[in-house]
Amino acid sequence: MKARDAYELPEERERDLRRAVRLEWATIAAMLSVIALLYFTLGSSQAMKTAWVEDILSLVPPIAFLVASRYSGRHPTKHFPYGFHRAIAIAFLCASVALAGFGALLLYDAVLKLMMREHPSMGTVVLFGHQVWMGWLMIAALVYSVIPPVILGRMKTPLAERLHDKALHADAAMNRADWLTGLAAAVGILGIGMGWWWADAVAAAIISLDILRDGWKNLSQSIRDLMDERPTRVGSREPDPLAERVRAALCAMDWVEDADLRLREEGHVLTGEAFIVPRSNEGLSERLASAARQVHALDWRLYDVSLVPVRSLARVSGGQERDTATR
Amino acid sequence: MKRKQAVVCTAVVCAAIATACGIPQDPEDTLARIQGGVVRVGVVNNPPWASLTSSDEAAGVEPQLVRALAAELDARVEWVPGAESELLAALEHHSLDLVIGGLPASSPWKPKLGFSRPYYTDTLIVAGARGSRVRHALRGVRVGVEKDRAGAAALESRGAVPVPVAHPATFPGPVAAPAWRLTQFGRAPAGVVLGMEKRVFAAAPGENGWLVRVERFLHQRRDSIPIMLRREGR
Repeated sequence: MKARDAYELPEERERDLRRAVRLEWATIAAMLSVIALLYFTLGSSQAMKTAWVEDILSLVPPIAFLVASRYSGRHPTKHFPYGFHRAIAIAFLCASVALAGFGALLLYDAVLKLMMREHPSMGTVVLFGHQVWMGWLMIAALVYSVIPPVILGRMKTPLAERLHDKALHADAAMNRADWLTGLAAAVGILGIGMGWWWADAVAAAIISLDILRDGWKNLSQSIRDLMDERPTRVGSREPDPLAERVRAALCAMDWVEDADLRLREEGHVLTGEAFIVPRSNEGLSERLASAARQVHALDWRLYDVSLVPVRSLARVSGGQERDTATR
Repeated sequence: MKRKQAVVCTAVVCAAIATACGIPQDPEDTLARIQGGVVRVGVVNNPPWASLTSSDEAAGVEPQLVRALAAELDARVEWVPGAESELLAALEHHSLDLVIGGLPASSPWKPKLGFSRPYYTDTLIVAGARGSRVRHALRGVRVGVEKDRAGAAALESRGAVPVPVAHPATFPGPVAAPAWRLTQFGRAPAGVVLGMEKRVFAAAPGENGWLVRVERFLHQRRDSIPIMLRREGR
């Protein structure tokens, strides 16, 4: 088995990756502190419990990213000739399944509480000699719980865009949207204070719908990734313009009559096959080798794009009509 | 950023209004109904915490507290007798406002009702006879317990032998009883601690305005509880 050549990230992207790793460790530490604080102020509030579970779930994407980024940089081996770039897609899939699953569970829990008409009881606690209604304490904890994720999310977003890392981008987006969770839970608790017993369960239902929606969005994205969907921009469904740039660059070469390509994303990198119809077969090996160098110099994301000379670009039904592939 | 600022401002304004509105409030307006009206109190027979006398009146530490609270609220008290589980079930359905009777904080009813903060912590102690000290290892030691066998399970798990006696005050060996009972027996409330039980009041679930009022009252009176206990004798 001929293993792929090793892939090296350019300097700046390497720096970005290292910074992303540091930020993800910071996210884990910050979220652990939030989880501990919320645990002590949970009380009998369903909305608080849902926000707490969401914060535990927001540990999963950073852990997935850290584990995957250890593996994806490894050089391809005989056993894994295509390398380990897919590791991040697998990690992303696991994280999305966890989110979607828990979102559904929490929604079920909240709706059940509403149907059973449970009235949450919240009394007082004594803090430094003062008797304070528990609800105020919960709201204070929620305000704190929102601050680290939103800050870290904002810091991670530009890194994710530069690295074209969909998993990191999704994680940052979820962190940034955490303020909505805190607000919903706080409004729910204030609603309880106003005497509306259902406010808490409704807030919990809203938060769990948000988790479910995040999980579903990420799940469908990671499924499309694993199905080798055409490369898209980070955070959107628009096609990545890089594919068109490669095609244009190939067609611009004088010995090329026509060219088309098939690309897929593997983590940060784009890989695939470019099909070239040469005007003549003279010096094909050298021309293909130089064309490959030119193509890979276009962008740091292109990796191991195979250049395949073909007789025509028309689709062949049944057997395959391709000349021997050379690089 | 503008959106965020708007959200924060709204939140602050909400909090300000909320404080003015007297948060927390009751979904079923319990506190408003009780003020100047009737408070329905379920009484579990559990001396000295609460007991019902023959004339349908309640006596004990907790009824005294309830009477004081009712006076503050200008309300009349309706005492409702019954078994603990039936009274708590009625409380869950809002047929009662409060249930008292030395309810333990570790009761399995806690998630379904509005338990107050513990207003007193019972410490179960094994105290030696006057002048003697109890060894920490209780294995095989015969320890006197009251007729209701309070603490017998804890003693057995430590290997001691609980001996129910009618008059623990005159038992020659060590005796296991709550701290305030030991004082009544004339023994120092010091020795091996078997466990702690916290006592609470139970309010109707979700009636947070009422619950907070009860808790504030109990917190104010917390220092008078040991005195009241000492006065209650059997």
